[in-house]
Amino acid sequence: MNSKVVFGQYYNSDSWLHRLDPRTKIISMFLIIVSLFLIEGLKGLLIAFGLTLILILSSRIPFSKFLASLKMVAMLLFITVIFQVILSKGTVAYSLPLQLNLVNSLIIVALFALYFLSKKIIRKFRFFLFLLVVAGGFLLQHYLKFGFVFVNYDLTVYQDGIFNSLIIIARIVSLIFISSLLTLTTKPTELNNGLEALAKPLKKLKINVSVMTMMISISLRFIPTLLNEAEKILKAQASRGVDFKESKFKDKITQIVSLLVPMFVISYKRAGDLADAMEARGYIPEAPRTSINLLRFRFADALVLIMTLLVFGALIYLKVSGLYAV
Amino acid sequence: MGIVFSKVAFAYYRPRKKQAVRFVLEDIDLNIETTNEFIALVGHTGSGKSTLVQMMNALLLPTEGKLELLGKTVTPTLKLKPIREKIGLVFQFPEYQVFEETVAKEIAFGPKNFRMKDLEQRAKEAAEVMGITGLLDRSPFTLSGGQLRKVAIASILATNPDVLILDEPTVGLDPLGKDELLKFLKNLNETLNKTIIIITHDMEVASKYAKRIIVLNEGRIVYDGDKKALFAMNDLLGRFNLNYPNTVKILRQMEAKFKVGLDVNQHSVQDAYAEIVKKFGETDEQ
Repeated sequence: MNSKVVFGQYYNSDSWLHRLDPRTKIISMFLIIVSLFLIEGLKGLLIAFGLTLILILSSRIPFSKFLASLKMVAMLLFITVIFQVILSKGTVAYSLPLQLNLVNSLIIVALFALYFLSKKIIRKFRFFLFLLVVAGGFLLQHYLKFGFVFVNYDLTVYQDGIFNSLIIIARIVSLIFISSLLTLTTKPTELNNGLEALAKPLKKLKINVSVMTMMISISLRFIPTLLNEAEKILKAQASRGVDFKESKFKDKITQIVSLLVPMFVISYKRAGDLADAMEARGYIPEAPRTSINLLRFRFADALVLIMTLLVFGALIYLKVSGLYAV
Repeated sequence: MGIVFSKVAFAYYRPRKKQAVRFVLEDIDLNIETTNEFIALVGHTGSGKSTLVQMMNALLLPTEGKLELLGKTVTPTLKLKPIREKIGLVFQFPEYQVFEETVAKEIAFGPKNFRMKDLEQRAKEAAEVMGITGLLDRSPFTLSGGQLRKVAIASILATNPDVLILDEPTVGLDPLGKDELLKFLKNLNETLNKTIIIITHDMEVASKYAKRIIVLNEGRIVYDGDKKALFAMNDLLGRFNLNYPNTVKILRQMEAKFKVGLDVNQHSVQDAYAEIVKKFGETDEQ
């Protein structure tokens, strides 16, 4: 609870990606992501992945930041890969005879129990530990072949399964990397400005873009403030004996109420204050407004846009004309 | 026993590589008994007062050094509830903690969490002490700032802690309410021998009620001890960024002008008057 949660992923650095116009970055990211889904073969995806890595290297952001963004999808990737490997059929790549018997099944259960019990002691690299436990489970089934036998079976891995899972990994990982490239190199406010500029044509459809983006930027602005306030409330309640760690589930419910109610009350109050302050400074929702952050479209932006458009166009052409041979 | 800081330092952020740590508190050595102390914690804004009292309640853990609360060294695995039961902290902004439907429930929330008995009785007693019995059935969200503050103090009092820490308790109270609260705290200290620690900017409060004054400046304790000795020093403003209490200020100016050997260290209006009378003689105005 002590560590501050930093909202937005923006990583301050100075690279050509940081200097690009947010509009360019948003459009390019969109095009690149669609392109990733247009590429079919493994080779093409690997090339795309390589290009993504080059982009990452040129962004002057530590690679660990990108790996952190993978954390969210690691489990999902793992599960899809497992299913791909198990369920697809075709030419056999590798086959491992396994046996599930009383001895090794007990050991496996104990291993998993240990994994869950170690939650409090080992906190880092939980995912790798999980992979180790799973792999260890298979190895035990391969080597420990004695005792009461439940079932004998083969773990067969097919070539198609491996190819498919590689394709999925390359696609999803590049997708995540590209989108975190956008959020890591662009400040939330810049993103918001870019979105506003891009959504301007919607005004013709009588959709009030500036009010929408004002709402977005206000909510972005207040997330850290609210987090700060939540921490203060937590502390105030903690000194009155609220303890999320040590208490029972039944008590936890009232304790969460003791956090939520002040939070709501304070947010409402704050919203009212903000509205008053804005009105006092002459804010009129529909009025045309200049921005302090002018977006500038430079030569580099044009270059980037042309490049992505070219790649995108080429992929579409290949797809439509059926020339796709990679 | 009590609250013992030894060589404690505290930083809010774990530093990145290459970055120097910015300590909010540094080199804190402090020993506070759990009985019979009345301490005023003073210092400039941002000097780390609030951080220090939050550590006393184990809400923040020291980055470096050792902190002992009630004889137990504070570590991340220590059970903190028994400590918080005995060391009560009243925060500066009461609106950050009220959430119940009625004031009575609000006050009983602390004792309920500490699994105490006779919740209603406790709430009633605490309310009586703070003079808010009339508000017990009202919703805390309809109260004024000053009333809310009293509720917040009552909700800590209801758990009957040995050490009562108050962060800026007099802000938002009218002069009468302020005086009442401080007199009540003094009374708690004198009759029940409880330790009271208040954070304050108000030198009048510090000089009139406290027995011991701790001065923080830029995260370090620059003075810890008797109040008389503190206000006897010259150039408090330059040294610690502190003001003299009004009585001391006036007497100092008189002394500077008339040089009659006034004892300038008087902390109540009566004492100051008596001192002036002693040196200048009774005038016919009385």
